[in-house]
Amino acid sequence: MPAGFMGKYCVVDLTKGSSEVFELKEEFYKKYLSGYGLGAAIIAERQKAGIDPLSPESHLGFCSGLLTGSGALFSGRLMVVGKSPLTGGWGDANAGGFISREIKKAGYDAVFFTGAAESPVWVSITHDNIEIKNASELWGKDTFETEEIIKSQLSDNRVQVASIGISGERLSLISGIVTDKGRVAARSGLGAVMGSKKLKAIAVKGDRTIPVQRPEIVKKINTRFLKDYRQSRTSHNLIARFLNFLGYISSIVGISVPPRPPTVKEVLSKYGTAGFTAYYSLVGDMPVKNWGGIAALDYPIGKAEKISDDNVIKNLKRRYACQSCPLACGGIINIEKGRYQGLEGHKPEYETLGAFGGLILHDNLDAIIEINEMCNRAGIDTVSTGASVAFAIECFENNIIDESITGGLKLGWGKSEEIARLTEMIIKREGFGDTLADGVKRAAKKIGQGSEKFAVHAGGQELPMHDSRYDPGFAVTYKFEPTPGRHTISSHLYANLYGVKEKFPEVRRRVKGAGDKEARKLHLLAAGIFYVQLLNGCGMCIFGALTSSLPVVEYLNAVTGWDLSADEYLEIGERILNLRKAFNVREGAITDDQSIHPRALGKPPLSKGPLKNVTIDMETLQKKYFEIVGWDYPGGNPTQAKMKELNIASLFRAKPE
Amino acid sequence: MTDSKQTITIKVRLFAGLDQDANLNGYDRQEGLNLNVPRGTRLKKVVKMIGLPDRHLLAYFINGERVGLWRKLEDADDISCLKPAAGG
Repeated sequence: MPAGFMGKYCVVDLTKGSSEVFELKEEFYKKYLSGYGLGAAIIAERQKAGIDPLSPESHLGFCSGLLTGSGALFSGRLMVVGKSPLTGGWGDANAGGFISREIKKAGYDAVFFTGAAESPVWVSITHDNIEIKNASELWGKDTFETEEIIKSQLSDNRVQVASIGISGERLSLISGIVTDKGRVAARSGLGAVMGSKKLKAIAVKGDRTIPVQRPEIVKKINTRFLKDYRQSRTSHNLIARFLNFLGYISSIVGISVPPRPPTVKEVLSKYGTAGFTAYYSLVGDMPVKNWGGIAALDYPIGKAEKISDDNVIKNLKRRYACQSCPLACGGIINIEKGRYQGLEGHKPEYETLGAFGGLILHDNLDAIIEINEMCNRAGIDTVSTGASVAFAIECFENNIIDESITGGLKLGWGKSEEIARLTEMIIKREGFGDTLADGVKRAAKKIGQGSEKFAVHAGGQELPMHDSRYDPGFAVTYKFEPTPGRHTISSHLYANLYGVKEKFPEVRRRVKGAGDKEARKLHLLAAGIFYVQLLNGCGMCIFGALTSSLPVVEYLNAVTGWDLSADEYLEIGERILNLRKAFNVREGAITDDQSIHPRALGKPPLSKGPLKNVTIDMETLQKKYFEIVGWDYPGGNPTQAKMKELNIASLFRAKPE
Repeated sequence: MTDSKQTITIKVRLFAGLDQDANLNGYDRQEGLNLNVPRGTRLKKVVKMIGLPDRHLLAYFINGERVGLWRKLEDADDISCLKPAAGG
C-alpha cells in the first residue's frame, strides 16, 4: 500500500461557492511529489494560459509536502503556489508553522482556490467538510487579529490559520500570506491573489492519520540523525578532521574559511538568521545602500553589530520550532518601544534586518522590530518593502522625487521615523505608498525620469539580502529561477553546504566530467537547485539541508514504500524546476523579463571593500548554466528534448492567447 | 604599568556567542575587549589568549578587512571574530 500522501486535492470555487475533490494516483506523486511539484502540475493543467493572476480564473494553491506529517524532521513547510502578479510568471512562496500538516490531516495534499467571492470570505477546512464563511467583519483586520478571531469563533486554539492583512486586501503586489502570527509565505505577491479572490483566511483542522509505509524506519532515521545533529560542533570523523586541517591552513594565511553545516546550525539554533548579520556585512554578502554602497565604508561593523546576534535576542522571551523541526530557529521577543510596546513579537529574520538595515543604512534595531511587526501584521514582504523604501530614498537623494510627492517626508538614508512612516504608507497604499506598494519595477515605470536605474530587481521581483557579487551563484538563481530574485534556492556556497556531491552519485559523475573549475561549480549549483526543488516537493525546510546531511532520500523511501535511488529523486527535483520554468514560457514571462539589475553583477564594480572590482561575466555563466540544465541559449526555455526527457511536454501544449 | 612604545591597544569584538564559548563572563557587547598587547603580536596569539574554541574555523577581520591568524597587529586595530555562515 503506497503511503506518504493523501491521494486527493480539493478545488474550492469561490464564485460558485462550491468545492470539488479530485483523486491522484501514486504515479503522479512519483513524478511530481507534492508541494511545488504538485502545485505546478495541477495549475499548469487547470489554469488557462495567459490569464491575469488577479482575475477570478486564476488558481491559488495551499500545498503540503510529501513528507509533511510523516514523522520526518524539517518537513513542516506550507507551500503556496499560483501565477505571480509581481513577475507575471510562476509564483510560489513557503512558510513554516503548523498548517501544512493540518492540510494533510484534513485529508488533502493541497487545497486550491479559484473564482472570486462577491464579498469577503474565509474558508474552514476540516475532514470531509469545506465551509465558506462570511469574513466581512475580518476584512481590515490584521493577520494576528484575524487568526485570534477565527480561533475564538471556532473555540479551538489548535486550528491552523493562514490569512492576508491589509496589504493583500489592497492587492499590493508585494503582499504575502501569514500563518502562525508571523510566519510569512512572502514572495511572489501571492497575498494579492488571495485578496483578489476576497479570501481573507483559511482555517484548517483535521484528524486523519497520515499514512506512513515504514514508520519504524522513520523513527530509526530520526534517532540516528538526532544523535549526530545534537553532537558538539567538533566532529571526530576523518572527513571532519581533514576539513578542520584545511580550515587551519586557511585561517593562518587568511583565505576565507568556508561555512560548515555544524557552525551554521550552531548560530541558527541560538540566534536564528539574525545571528548572520554582522558576518554578512563584513564578508560583503549584505548589500548596502540599495546595492550601490560599500559596507566597510557606508555600513561598517559598528553599525551592523547593532542589528546582529546578541543585540537582536537581548529581549528574547522564548525560542520556538515549526512543526517537526529540531533546530528551533524561531524566536519571540518582548517589544520594548514603538506602537507595539509591551507586546510580544517575532524576532526579525536576517532578510528583514538586511532590508531595513544595511540596504537603507539604518541601524535602529527598535525601529526595525516595529517595522517587522507592522509588515507581519499587514502581510507584506519585508524584502520587497525594504527594497522599495531603498529605491524611494535613492530617488529622493537624486531629486527625482521631492516632498510634494512623498507627502512631506524628507527621505534619507537611515532616518528611522521617515522609514517607518513610508512603510506604513506602502502597507496602507496611502499617497506615495500606493506607487511603491507594487514593487520597484512598477514604481519606476510610474515615476519615470530615469528612476529605473535605482529599481533593483530581477525579473520584477526585488532582490533579497545576499549579494551576488559575493557569491555569483546567486546571480544565476536570481536571474534564471522561475520565481526570480529568490535567495532560498541555491548558490555556490549553499550547494557545498547541501553536500550534493556526496549525496548524489550522478552529480559526482557530472562534476568529474566537467571541463573546468567554473563548469564544475555550475554543475554543483544546478544540482543544488534541483535538490531544493526536491525538498520543496517534500515540504522540507532548507535549513535542515544547510545544517546537516539531511537524509531526505532515506525518509522518502521509508515513508512512501518506494525504492528509488538518490539520483532518481534528484531527477524529480529537476522535473519540478522545469515544470515551473515551462509555466513561465507558456505565460510569455520568460522572454519578457529575464533581467537583473546591473549593480547585482558589479556593473559598475565597487571601488573598495571585499567586493572591490568584482564584475560577473553573466553571459558566460548563462551559456554554461543553460547547457548544463538543458535550456536553449540565449532564450532560457527548457528545450523540447529536456521536456520529453522529464516527461512534462504534454502539460504545456497550450500557448498564451 | 605599560610602556606605550612597547605595547599597542587593540579592540576585539566577538559575535554569535563566541564570548560565551570562551567563558568570558561580563563581556560587554558595546565595548568589546580592549586589550594591551606587545607590539608585533600576531592575531593567533590574541585569539588563543582569549580562549576562543575551534579558532581555525572562525573568520577574522581587522578594520573591515579579512585577515589570517598570522597577521601582525597594529595599534588601534579593530578586530572582529565571527563564525562563518551562509543561508537565511
